[in-house]
Amino acid sequence: MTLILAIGVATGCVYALVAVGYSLIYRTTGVVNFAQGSYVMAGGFSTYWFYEIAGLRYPIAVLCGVGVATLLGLMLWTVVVLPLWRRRSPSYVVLLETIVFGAIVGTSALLLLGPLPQTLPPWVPGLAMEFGGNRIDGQYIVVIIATVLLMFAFSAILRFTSLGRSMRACAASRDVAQLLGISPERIGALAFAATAALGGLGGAMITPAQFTSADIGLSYGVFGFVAAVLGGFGSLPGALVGGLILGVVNAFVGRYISSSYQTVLAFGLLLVLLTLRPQGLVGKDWEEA
Amino acid sequence: MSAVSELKLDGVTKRFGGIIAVSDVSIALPVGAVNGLIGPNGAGKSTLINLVSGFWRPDAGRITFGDRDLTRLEPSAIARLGISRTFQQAAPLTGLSVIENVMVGLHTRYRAGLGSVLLRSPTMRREARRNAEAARALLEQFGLTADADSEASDLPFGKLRFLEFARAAAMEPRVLLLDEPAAGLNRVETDRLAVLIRNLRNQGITVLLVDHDVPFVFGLCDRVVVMNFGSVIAAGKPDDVYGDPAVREAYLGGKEQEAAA
Repeated sequence: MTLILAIGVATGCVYALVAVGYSLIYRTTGVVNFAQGSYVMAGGFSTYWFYEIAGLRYPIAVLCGVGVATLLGLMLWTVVVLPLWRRRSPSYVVLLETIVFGAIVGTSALLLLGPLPQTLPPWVPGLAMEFGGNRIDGQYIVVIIATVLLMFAFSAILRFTSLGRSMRACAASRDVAQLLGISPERIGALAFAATAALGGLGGAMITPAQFTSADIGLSYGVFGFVAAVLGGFGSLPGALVGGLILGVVNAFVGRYISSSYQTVLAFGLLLVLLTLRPQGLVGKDWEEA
Repeated sequence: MSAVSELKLDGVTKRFGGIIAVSDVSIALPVGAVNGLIGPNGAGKSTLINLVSGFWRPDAGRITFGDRDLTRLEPSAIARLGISRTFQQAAPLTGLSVIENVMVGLHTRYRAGLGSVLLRSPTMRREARRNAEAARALLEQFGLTADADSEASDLPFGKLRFLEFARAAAMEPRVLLLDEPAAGLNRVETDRLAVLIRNLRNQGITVLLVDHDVPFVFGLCDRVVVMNFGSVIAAGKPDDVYGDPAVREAYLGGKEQEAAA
């Protein structure tokens, strides 16, 4: 029981990090970026490469892994999204391009690193916790604590720094932000890089507890999106709540029913919730962030 | 700095489909003067403001500010050069408090690098403090002190307008473009607005003011430009323009009849 709960909460944390990415990108640029899940794969898989194959020290390998994800985010913005954005292309075109980008990242990983799932050693060797006779892998605890800290840091930056204010100004109105001297293109680049780094870090954190492979980007992308909508698209606490609920439900369904029902149940949950509360569980105002 | 900050339009033309919204307009705004821009609906006044602030690009002609060519610049770059504007519809940044709205305007002045923001360096803290103090001073000046921490979009209409001016003033502009600032304000608020605009001019800021309220414009402005059908038909001192037959024909005559009716 507690073990499954811990697994659920930890994967839910990664969904939440992805969901924050969806929300932040959507609020600041108006783009729904379906490549968000591929950062998780890229972060985890490239950390694996830097550590196991390139032989870097573990912390350096994690930094490099997150760096790769961040670069992918910047690349997606500058090479793919920005040119469409400048031309005011319809949003379905931009959305399709992000899906294509995610698929290319996944395929490249497959070609470069092969189809086999890989894992990494725990961040804190020997860390484990006893809960009612169950031994919980320390890495799950690392993921949960790190996610909570990241969420706090992220909302503090949004709330209290001039950079955060500029991002919120962009989210409120790009026109007004522009005439206040804020460049939406630069804010977009920053948002893409920051959310890619978050996703990449999520991937690097969850890999030691589970595994990573070239095709996990899609499922993190989908579940992260569902989490974002569940919580209320655009809301930071909503992303966390949505991610946790989805992670826990998924873990229990996977354990007691069948992992093939996970997606069905996730979408079922989404359908029911959207009927009852179209705005998601948490209001969509950033003031609550 | 005074002589270079002159804003000049040279043969500026803007078409929308087959309609010529602004046709071959050449004007120069003297530094530190309040310039009124009037004309009947559809004369091209708002288009002109959108062109100067970079939201639209002219099809022909050049807009220069001192020795800088603004014609191809992004709106944010133009704003950073010191050309600030307000919108016809008050546009508060929702989700931000009143004081935060002003602080966003100040960000251009007090901007710490990303590194020092993340590290919360002493420089950044000092700037954040100065930023907050400057924002409070502006709120005071525009009569918004009591509303500092309210959600901006909750303000009543009149105060929203003043928030817009405070936000535009926060950028310490050298040119301020005001698109119908008096629209929807009551008499008292309009009078206060006139005082604030004169204060800005006395600080050496060049103002370009678009409005329908003819007595307001003629009472306040040092110079008046009249547009009709996208072209400038008269420009000069208010008294001269007021007496110009073409202007009375095109615009003022109609207005006076309306007022009499």
